This record gives sequence, structure tokens and C-alpha cells, in this order.
Amino acid sequence: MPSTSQTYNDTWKKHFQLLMEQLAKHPLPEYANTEKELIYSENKLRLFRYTPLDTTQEKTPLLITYALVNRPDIVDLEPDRSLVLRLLEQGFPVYLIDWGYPDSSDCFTSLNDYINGLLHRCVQQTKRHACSQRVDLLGICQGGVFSLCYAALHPEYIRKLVIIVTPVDFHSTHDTLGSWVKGLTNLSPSVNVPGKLISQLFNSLKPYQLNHEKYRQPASLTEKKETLDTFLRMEQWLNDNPDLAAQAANEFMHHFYQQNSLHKKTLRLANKRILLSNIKSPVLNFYATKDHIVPPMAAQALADHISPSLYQAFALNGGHIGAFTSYKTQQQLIKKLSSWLK
Amino acid sequence: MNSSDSKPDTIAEQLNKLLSSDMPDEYKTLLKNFQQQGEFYSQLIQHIDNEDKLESFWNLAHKPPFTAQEQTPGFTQILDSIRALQTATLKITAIQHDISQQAAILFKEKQAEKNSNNVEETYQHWLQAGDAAFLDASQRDDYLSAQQQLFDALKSLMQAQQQYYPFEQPSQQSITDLQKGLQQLRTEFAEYKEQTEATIQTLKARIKKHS
Repeated sequence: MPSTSQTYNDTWKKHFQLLMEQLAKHPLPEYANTEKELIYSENKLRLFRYTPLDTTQEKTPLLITYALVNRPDIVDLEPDRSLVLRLLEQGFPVYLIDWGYPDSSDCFTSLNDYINGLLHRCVQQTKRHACSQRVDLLGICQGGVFSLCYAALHPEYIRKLVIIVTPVDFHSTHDTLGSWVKGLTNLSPSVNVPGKLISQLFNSLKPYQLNHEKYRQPASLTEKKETLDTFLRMEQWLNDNPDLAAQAANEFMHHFYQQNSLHKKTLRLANKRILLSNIKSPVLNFYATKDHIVPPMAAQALADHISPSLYQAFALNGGHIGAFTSYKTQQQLIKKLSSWLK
Repeated sequence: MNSSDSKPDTIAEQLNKLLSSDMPDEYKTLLKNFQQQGEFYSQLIQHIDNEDKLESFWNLAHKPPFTAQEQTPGFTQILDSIRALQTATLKITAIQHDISQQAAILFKEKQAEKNSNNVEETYQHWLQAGDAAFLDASQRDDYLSAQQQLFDALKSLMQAQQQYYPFEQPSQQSITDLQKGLQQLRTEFAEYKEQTEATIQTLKARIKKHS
């Protein structure tokens, strides 16, 4: 590495120039867009079935549920990092919920609507489409929280449950996001939370890394086309934040971040108590060791609720997103998940 | 070489050309970010070399969501909310100043430990000092309280804006009622659709069994 300031500046200029030249003739890279079929839609929600590959198929459909705060495209970002493709290669029938982009008319969509309404209907549609009595659920982050609640309320429909980087204890130590949200008063009940605000909130968790360091070295992007493509796709995904339906956002903030009701066993939906101990299916809990959004302890708290004979945890060496998108950890994840699910 | 060849554009000129071109907006934002950070880090090194004060290099006061730059004042009815927002922003700014000062101290300590002019190490020390100072401050009660006041002020401003509407527009209450009704209708219809499909499946299975 060049050690003098002048050499460093000259190198920076050279690579910034290269970056400009490359971007000037570089088309916007698309996501992997693995072939899929729309099998159900409701308001903004769409449920997709990915086209199976030419390999022996497992019987039980695998339904992926992502968070509301970002787009689910992250699980199919590009072929080499596509969680969806890796699952298809293993012969799993993969289904995915796309929650869509809420608008002002969706402001009164509640958590109950999401979990006992939309998610429930997606599970039923998946079962029917796959001609299966039950589904395997794969929930990521807040999608994992929804999946846990659903499995606790409707254990009869779930064969196995996988969750990735999913918080259970929202009051664990070193949870900066949890500390910040804990003290907030309620948001407006009829105004959706702008997606841009959520994006800024996440950025503010690591302000120096995400506002400065990330854009310091153009050299890291100009050496390989693939690296630039990956960076551009990630930027596109990071800047694509749907608004959050006001009621659901308020309820999630109140019940999970502020009251920690799920972990304290006091959570109720539609007047029914949600006890994670009611989950009867095997549970595989992937958590990320360097996750600053869902600290490991927040995810590992699930062990307090699930019978040991049903529960397994697996540590992934990475951050919140890197845990399931980086080459190395994705391979570890798929290997473990595949052997556990089959 | 043709003596009338013009000199190659400077980096700034090349950048300006691209920013005015039909390049995708995402690329323009990206290039602006890299260019800004290039200047930032270059100034950091210059300040270090000149032994100038460094606190400002950890200043987050102008980064969202620590600013209220997204808000659009202009209505007399929302002035109080704006004032509340300004007060909250000032508190956050004061704490940010503390973070900057602490980071500068930590940075100097790290630089003193290493006796080299390696620029990469210097940048890493900048990041580590900032992260450490931020981590320490972000868990403090006064920081959490100031953040809460900022969000409350933002919320008040949004609500104040909502209450102001020009003539011949529907009232907030009527829009709220419409939204509630629409949501209820959607849920009922979706549940009805689901029940119907489930019933049809059951009947089909029975017919198949008996035929």
C-alpha cells in the first residue's frame, strides 16, 4: 500500500478516474431475477414460486418470508450470491413472499393482518399449490419474527422452521437499535413511516462506516467488473426501502422493541397469546456473530423458548446481511440448512 | 501528436460532464459520494500534517437523521413544531460535538502508539476512533433522550402539517374513516376468498374420492 499522502492521493485519482470511465459505459446491473411464477396476489402482496431446476425435488415447499423494511430481492441478488438459487440447486421447492410497497391506504394494516392474515393466506396458498399438508418456513430478520409468531399460533401447518438473523430478545445488551427505539413515543397512527427514514436510521447505527469509509476507496471497485456489479446491486437494494404501514410499525415498535413482549411471553395477537413454546416443529436458528442490527444475544434468546430436542443454533461469521449473502458463509448456511431440512 | 489537441479534462471537469449526462441517477449519486469522500480524506491528512484541529472530521451534525433537512417549513401553524425541532437538533449537535472531541483524542492516542506514516493505518485509526467514541456516546442517557426529543419534534411537525389543509379538500377525519373502511373491506374479502378456495378444494377432493 502506498504510504505517503501524495502517492495515496495520486492512486485515488487514478482509480476514481477509472471508476468514472467504467460507470460511463456500464449498464445498471440487474438482480439475478431467477425465473419465478406468480401464484397469488392480494393488494400489494405477491407470492411467487421459483421454477424448479432439473434435480430431484423435495416434497415439502419452503416458504421464504423477509422483513418489511427492505425488499426481498436480497435473497436473489446475483447468481453467485443467490440464496434462492442455492436452495433450488438442493431440490427445495422455493416460494417467496413479496410484501410490496405500502401506500397511504395501507396505513391501518396491523401486525395481525400481516401474520394471521397475509402470511397465513400465503401458507395456505403454498400448501395447495405444492399439494402438501404442511410447509417449511424460512424467515429472515423481521420475517423471522413473523414466522416464529405464525408457527406458535398455527403449529399444525409447519413441518420445520428456519430463521436467519432474527431477534427474539429486543432488550439484549449491545443492541444500539433497540436502545434507540425503546425510548420513542408512538408514531402517527395514520401516517406510514417513510422508507427513507428507516434507511437513514440503519445508516446512523454505523455512521462513519456507512457514510464515509464505504466510499473511500474507488480502487476496491475498479479492479474487477464483478466487484463493481455486486456493489451497485447492493447500493440499489439498500436504497430501495418501502414505507412501513403505520399501524404495523407502531405495534412492532411498541410490542417488540419497547415491551419486549415476545421474549417476555406477554405478546397477544387478535386476543390470542403468542408463546414460542407452542412451536412443535424443529427449529434451526442461524445468527450472525458480527450483526450490529440483531446482536447475537438477541437471536440466541430463542433457545429459552424452544424445547432442546427441537432446537439447533448455528453461528455464521458475518454481519446482518453478509451472513447469508457472502460466498463463504452462504455455503456454510446452505450445507447446514440442506442437511437439516432433508 | 497534433499540437491543437486539447488538454485532457481534469477529474472535476470529467465528473461534471458525467453528472450532466444521461447517466443513471444511481451512478451520479455514487460518483458524488466517492468524490466527496476523496476530498474529505484528503483534507483529513492535510489537517494531520498541519497539526490542525481534527474534531470536525467526526462531526455527524450534517448527516441524516441527525438533521431536520427533510422538513419543509412554510406554514404559520407549524412554527412551534419547527422551534421544537430546532431545540432538539441543537441538543443532538452538542452531543455530536462531544463525540467529535472524544474521537479526536482517541485518534491522537492511536497515532502516537504507531510510529509510521502509513496512510492506510491513519485512515483505519480515524475509523476506529470514530466508532469507539460513537459507541460510547450512543448508549448514554442524554444521547437517547436527545434522540427521543428529536423524533418527537419530527412527529409533531408531521402532525401539524397534516392538520393544515387548503379549502375544498377532504378533512383528515374523513380520509381516516375511508382508510379504515378500505382496510376492513380488504381483509374481509381476502378471508372470504381464502375460505371459498379451501371449500372448493375440499369438495373437489370428495368428488374425486367418490367418482
